[in-house]
Amino acid sequence: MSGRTERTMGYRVIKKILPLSIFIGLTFAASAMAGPEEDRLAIVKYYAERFPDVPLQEFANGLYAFDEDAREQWIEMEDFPPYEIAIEDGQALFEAPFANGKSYADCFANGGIGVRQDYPYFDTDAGEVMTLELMINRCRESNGEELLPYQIGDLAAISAYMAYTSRGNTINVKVPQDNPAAVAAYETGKQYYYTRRGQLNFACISCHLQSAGLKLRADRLSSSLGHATHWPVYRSKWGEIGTLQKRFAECNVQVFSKPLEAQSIEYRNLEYFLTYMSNGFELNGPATRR
Amino acid sequence: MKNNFVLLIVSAFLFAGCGQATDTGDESQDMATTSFADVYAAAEKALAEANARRNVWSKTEEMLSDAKTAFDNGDDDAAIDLATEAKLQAELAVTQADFEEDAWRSRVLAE
Repeated sequence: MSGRTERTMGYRVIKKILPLSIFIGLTFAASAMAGPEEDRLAIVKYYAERFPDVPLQEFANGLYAFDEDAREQWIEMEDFPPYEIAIEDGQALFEAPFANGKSYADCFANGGIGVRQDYPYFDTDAGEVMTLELMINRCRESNGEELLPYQIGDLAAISAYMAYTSRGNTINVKVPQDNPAAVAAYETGKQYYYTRRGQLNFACISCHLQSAGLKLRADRLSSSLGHATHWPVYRSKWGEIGTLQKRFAECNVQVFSKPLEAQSIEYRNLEYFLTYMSNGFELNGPATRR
Repeated sequence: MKNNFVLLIVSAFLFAGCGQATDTGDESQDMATTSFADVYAAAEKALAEANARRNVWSKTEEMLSDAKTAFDNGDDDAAIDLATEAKLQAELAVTQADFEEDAWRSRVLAE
C-alpha cells in the first residue's frame, strides 16, 4: 500500500469518525452544561427505565424502594420510630423563646411551620445558598444566641421538628435562571456530585446513581432520586438523628476523602443540586435508616 | 619508658578510632535529619496544595503526623517512609483533582 493510499484511507477514517466524535463530545458537553430541569428530567428518566416497577415517589424511601426484606423491617420500625423523641425535643426547643423574648418562629416564613420544601434556596443579596440548618443557626446568631453544632444534637432535633411539620409538602427548590450566581452555585453542586475523590476514587454517583439498588457488602445502595426528602434521619449505625450534611461527611470518609466542614460552600451547593433533583417529591422526614 | 610510649601510641589510635566512630554517627544522624526534613517539607507542601484544592485523602494528615512522631522517637526509617507516603498521597490527590476538573462532565446524565 502506497503512502498516498494510506493517507487517503486515514483521511476517510477520520472523516467518518470526526462527526461522531464531535457528536459525542457535544452530547457530553451539552449534558454537562444542561440546565437544572434538564438534569432532573434526565435522572427521573434514568431511574424510570432502570427500575420500571418502582413507582416514582417510592424512591423517597431510599433502599426500601427495592429491597423487600429491608422494607419489611423498616415498616416494623416505623411503628415506634426512634426519631419521635427528636421531634418532641425539637418542638420544645423551637418553641422556647430566646433570651431576648423572640423565637425561631420570628425568623421564618409562616412561623417556621411547613416550610422545609423551600430549602435550600439561593439568597440573592448574600450571594450564597441557604440551607434550613444554616438558617436555624443564623436565626440564633441574630438573636444573640450561641451557634449549635450542625450535624447532630439540638440543631438536628429542631430541623427534625420543622421537617415533621412539612411532611407531605412538595419539594420546590428554585434555581433562578436569570441569576448567574445561583446557576453557578447549582453547577458547582452538580460538579461535586459527579466528581471522583478520595483514595477509593469514588464520586457520589458511583454508589447512588451507577450502583443504586445493588448490594455493597450487606447493604443495598439507595438512589440519588428522592435522596433529599427525608432528612434529618435516625440511622441505626449512628444511634441518633443527624442531618443530611452529616451524611455527606460520612460518605466522604467512606471513600477515604477528608470531609469538608458542615455548611461549607461546597456542601451547601451540593445540597442545592441534590435537593433540586428531588423537586416534585413529597417530604417524608424525619425518617429511619439502617 | 618504652612501655609508656607504646601505651601512648595505642591510646592515640584508640582515641582516634573513637573520634572517627563518633563523627560517623553524627554524620549519619545529620543525614537522616536532613533527609527527613526535606521529605517532610515536600509532603507538607503537597498537602497544602491538596487542601487548597479541597481534595485531601483521609489518611494523609494522620500519616504525616505519625511521621513526625516516629522521627521524634528516633525511628528515622519509619519517619521517612511515612512522610514519603504522605507526600505521594497528597500529590495523587492533586492529580486526581486536576483530572476531575473536566472528567466529571463525561458522567453527567443526558436526557
